Amino acid sequence: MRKRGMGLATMVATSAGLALASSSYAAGIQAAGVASGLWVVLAILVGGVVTMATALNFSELAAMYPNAGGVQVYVRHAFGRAMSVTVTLLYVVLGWAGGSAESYIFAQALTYLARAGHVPVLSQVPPLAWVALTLAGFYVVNLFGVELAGMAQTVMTFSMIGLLIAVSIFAWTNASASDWHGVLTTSFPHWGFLMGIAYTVYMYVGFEWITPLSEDARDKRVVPRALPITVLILAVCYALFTGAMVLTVPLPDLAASPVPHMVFAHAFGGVPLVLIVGTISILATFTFFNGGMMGNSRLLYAMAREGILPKALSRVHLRFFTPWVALSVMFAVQFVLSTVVTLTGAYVVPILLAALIESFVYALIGLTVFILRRREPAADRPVRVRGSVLALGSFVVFLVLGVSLMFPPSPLAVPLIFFIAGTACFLYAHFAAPRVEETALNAAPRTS
Amino acid sequence: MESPLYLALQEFTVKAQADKTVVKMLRDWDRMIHIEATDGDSYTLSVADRRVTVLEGLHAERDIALVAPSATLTGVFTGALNPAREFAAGRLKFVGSNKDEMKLDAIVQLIWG
Repeated sequence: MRKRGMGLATMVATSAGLALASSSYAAGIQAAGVASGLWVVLAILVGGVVTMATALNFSELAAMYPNAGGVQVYVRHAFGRAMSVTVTLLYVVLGWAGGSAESYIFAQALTYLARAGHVPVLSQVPPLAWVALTLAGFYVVNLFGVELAGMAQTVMTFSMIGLLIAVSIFAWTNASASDWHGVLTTSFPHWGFLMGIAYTVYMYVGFEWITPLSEDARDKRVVPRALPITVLILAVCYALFTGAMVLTVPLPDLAASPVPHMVFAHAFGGVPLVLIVGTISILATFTFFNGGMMGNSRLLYAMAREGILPKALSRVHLRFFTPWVALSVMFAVQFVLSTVVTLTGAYVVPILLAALIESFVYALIGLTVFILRRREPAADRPVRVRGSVLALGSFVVFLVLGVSLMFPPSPLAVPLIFFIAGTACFLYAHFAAPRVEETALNAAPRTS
Repeated sequence: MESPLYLALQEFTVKAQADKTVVKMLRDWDRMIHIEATDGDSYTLSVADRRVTVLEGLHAERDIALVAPSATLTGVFTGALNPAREFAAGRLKFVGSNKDEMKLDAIVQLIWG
C-alpha cells in the first residue's frame, strides 16, 4: 500500500549535503591553525570518530522514535518540554550562525571566482551584493516551495564528493618533497590538537538533520544506517581535502583568506582548478541552504503551531503552501547577521559559535540516550550499541570540546554570544513560552 | 453505531466543503488520506475533484497517513486537539510529503483557527 520512500543513497546524500558547506573549508583551515598544520588531518579523523559516536546515538533515537520531529522530541522525552524548547531555539541560532558564515564565504568565493576568471562586471560586484543576492535567491526558492528532488540531491552531493576526493588525491600525489618536509617537522600541538578537534565539529554540523525524515525513508533502518555512513564519508573527504590544502600551500596564506579552498586551487592548479573548486563551492552552498533555510523556518513554524512562539509565525502561504511568515523572519534575521559578518569580516565567530552550540547539543544527545535507557528500558530499540560507554563517553567528550571552544584562541565574542543566546533561549522557554501558549489556548476553541 | 472518529471525520468534511478557501485549495490536490486508528476502526479521506469523502477502511494506495489512537484522531478532527502538539508529543504520526503536510495543516488551520 505504501509508496516507495527515500533509499540509503538518497538519505546519505541529503545528510552529507546538509553538512558539506563552503564554510567547512574555512573551518578546516582554522582548525589547522590551532592544531599545527598537517596534524589537522588527525584532528578531523578523531573528530569524525567522536561524531560517529553521536551518529550512533542519533541512530538509536531515530529508530526508537521514527515518527517524530528529531532532536526536540528526543530531548523532550528525556528532559521535559522547557529543555526541548531551549534546544530547539538554540538550533535556530545555530542555523543563523552557520548561514551567516556560509553566505559571507560563498560571496567571497564568487568574487574570487569572477576575478580569477577576469569576468567583466561580475568581478566588480561587492561581496555584500553577492550576500544579498544569494540569500534573496534561496528565500524565493524556499517561498515558492521548490524542493530539490531526491535524485538531483543524490547526484549533486555525490558529484561534489567525487570532485573533492579527486582534487585531494591529485594534490596529495603531486606534493613536492619540500611540501612534505615543511609539514612533517611540526611537533604535536597537545592543547592545540584538542582545540583543533573542537573546531572540526563545525564540519559535521547538520548531518543529523535527516532524523525527522525517518518516515520518508524506504524502511525504518535507512536513517539509522545513513547517519554513521555519512559521518565516515565526511571525515574522509574533509581529512583529504584539508590535508591537501595544508600540504601544498603555506598555512598563513590559507588562514589569511575566508576562502582557503579557492586560494589553494589558484596556487596549486591555476584558473582551471579554481573553476572546479568554485563549482564544488557553489554546489556545497546550494545543498547547505536548500535544506537549512527551509528546515529552520519549519522549526519556527512548528513551534508557532504548538503555541510556543507567536501565532503569526504559523501562517501558511495559501498558494505555495510554505510557512511564509516564519521564512520571512528567518530571511530578515539572516540578512542582518550576514551583513554584520560581511562588513566586519568576522566569519570565524559564527563558525565557532555554531561548533559550540552543536557540541552541547551532541553532549545532550549522549545524555538523552543514557537517561532514556534507564527510564524506558523496555522500549523497542531496533538500533542499540551495547553498554553505556558510547552514550556517556560522547556526553563527556562533547562537553569538553564545547567548553574548550569558550577559551582562547576563540574570540571572546564566541562564549559571550553563546551565553547571551543560551540565556535568552532558556528564559524564553521557561517563562515566556508558557504565557504565549496560554494566550494561544485561550484564543482558540481547543482543549489542549 | 457509528464511531466517534467516523462522526468527527464527517463533521470535518462538511466544514471543509462549506469553506470556499478550503475548496479552492483542494483544486488539483487529489489524495487518499489514511486515518489509521491504532486501537479501532480505520478510515480513508478521499479528496477528488475538490470533494472530500469519508470511506470506511483503508482504500487504494495512500498518499498521506495519520496514525494515532482513536481518541487523538477524533480530537484532531473535531478541533479539540492541536495536531502540532500531538505530533510533537509523539502521539500522532504523519506519513507523507512535506508539501502535503503543510497543505493539510493549512486546511486544519482554516477550519479550526
